[in-house]
Parts: sequence; structure tokens; C-alpha cells
Amino acid sequence: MNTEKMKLDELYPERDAASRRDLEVLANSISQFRAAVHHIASQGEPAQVAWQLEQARQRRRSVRRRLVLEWAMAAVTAIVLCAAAVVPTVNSHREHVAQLQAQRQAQILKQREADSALLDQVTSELSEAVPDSMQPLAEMGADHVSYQSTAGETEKNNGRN
Amino acid sequence: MEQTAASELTQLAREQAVLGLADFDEVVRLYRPRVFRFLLASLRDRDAAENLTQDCFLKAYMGREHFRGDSSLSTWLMKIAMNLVRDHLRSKRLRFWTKTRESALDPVDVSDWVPDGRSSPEAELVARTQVAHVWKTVSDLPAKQRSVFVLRFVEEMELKEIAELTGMNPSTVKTHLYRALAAVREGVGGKQ
Repeated sequence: MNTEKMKLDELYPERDAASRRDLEVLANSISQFRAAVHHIASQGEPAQVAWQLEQARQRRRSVRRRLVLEWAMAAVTAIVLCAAAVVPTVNSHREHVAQLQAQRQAQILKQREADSALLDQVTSELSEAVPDSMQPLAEMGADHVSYQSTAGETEKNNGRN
Repeated sequence: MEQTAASELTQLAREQAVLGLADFDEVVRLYRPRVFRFLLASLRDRDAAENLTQDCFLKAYMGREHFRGDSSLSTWLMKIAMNLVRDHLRSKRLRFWTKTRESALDPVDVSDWVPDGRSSPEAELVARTQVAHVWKTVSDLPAKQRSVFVLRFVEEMELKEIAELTGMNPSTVKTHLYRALAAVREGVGGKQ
């Protein structure tokens, strides 16, 4: 314990009584700790400490083998876990894409239906019968159209000739 | 003249240290307790300490041709032990899936043994509590602080020797020791 006090005095040059008492407790604790470690270490020591080189080598080899195996196992486990995490993600992504495509196609179909309905509406509104009061104008328009088409045909024939 | 004598003495010490390795059984017999104690206090695991003690001497045996006697045999072996502790802790951290070993020493078991017979049961209880507190605090210290503390207070090595062994400069060793002591002091109930 005195050696502990000397060692501690080097580090803690404190002089007041409280600090000294405190240091004494610390020195005492460390001294007991050292004694306990020495005792525990000596307890487990085999009676004969002959140098067993081959045994040490074998142990080292087996430790290395075990280490390699442990790492391999850990790698396999990690791969399995990753795969387990990735596969559902991929599947859900695919499902999501398919769902989006179906929605888009439904939208396109709906749009087409709406367009055709609009076209039908326009066609039906445009093909309404011309009122009696507008009949002469309609005939004029028809004459004009037939004149234009006749004139066009004549020009074409002239061109051929 | 004095310089020549000193260098001759150093050379002689080196030769003796190198020659000391020739009888390896004797080396193991002499230094095994110290190496084992250091490993046990550093790792708090009896099985790991025993295995690493074997590893330490195996490494020393394999590398005995590289030993030039620049440091003492004891310092060289302790350096190997320290490196083994560092590697062991690193691999333990990486192998997080490995369960905690059952051979790990519990502070309560450690305090079951108290050095000398106490005058009263109360004094014995106080001593046990103190040992348990120190053990627990030392276990929680950062690796470098723990090594320096164990080398200084369990192995009773000089600061200079610790500096040589750890490769730190003496003032760094002192700083680590001071911090470790501050933690232990707090652990046993003293003021900071």
C-alpha cells in the first residue's frame, strides 16, 4: 500500500487532510485490487506450465478456421437478409408499376370514350336539318360547291390534255 | 572511457536477453504469470486470457530470431501481449454476432477474494466493495487508459518502461494514468 501512496503522491501532490485521506482510500483500493488480480490469476494457473508448442499451434489453427467460418456464416446471413429485404421491394415495385399502367390505360379508354361522345355530339349537332328560311342559302352553297368541283375537274382535264 | 563501459554493459545485457530466449521453457515459466495477469486484467475473461497467453508465447517463439535485445525480454513479451489485446478487442468488436463469453469475470466474483483477513465483517465488506468498484471502473476505461493503469498498478512497471512498451511518450503515459486514476477515484467514491 505504501508503494501505491508513493505512486499516487507523484500524480497528486495534494497537501490538505481531506485529500490525503481520500488518496489513502484510493491507494488502499488499488492495493486490494492488485492483490485480487494476482490471486485470481494464480488460482487458474495450471500446476505444470510446460511449453506445449504443438498444442498452441493447433489452437491457433482452429481459431483461424473458426474465424473464417464465422465470417462466412455472417456473410451468408447478410446476403439472405438482403435478399429477403430486396425481393418484396422489387415485387411491390412491379405491382406498383402494373397498377399505374392499368390506371393509365383506363384513363386513356375513358378519354377515348369522352372524345368519341363529343365527336358524336358535334356530328349530330352539325347534321341538323337546315331550317326552311335558310334553304335558299343552303342551295346556293350546294351550287357553289358543285360549281367548284366541276371547275376543278375541267382544270384537271385541261391539264391532262 | 565511461561511455565505452556503458555501451559494453548494454551489449552484454542484450546478449543476455537474446541468450535468455534459448531456453524457451524457462522463459515461459518465468514470464507466463505476468503475461497472463496482464491479459486477465485487460480482458476480464479467463478463457480469452489463457488463449492469448498461449498465442503470446507462440508468437514469441516464432519470432525469437528477430529479437535483438533492444528491450528486456519482459518488455518484449508484454508488447506482444498488448498487441494481442488490441487485436482481440478489435476482432471482438467486428464479430458483433458472437455472444458474450460465459468465462467473463464478474466484479462480484472478483471481490469475493479480499487480500488479508479483516478485523471486522464491516471492514471486509468495505474492502470487497472497493475492489468491485475498482474492477468495474477499470473495465469501463478506454483500452489505452486501462492498459496503462494495469501496467502501472498491477504489474508495478515504471512510467519509462510503460512508455517504451506502449510506444507513447512518458508525458502521454502520465496523462492516461492521470485520467484512469481520476475515474477510479470517482468510482471508489473519492473526489475528482
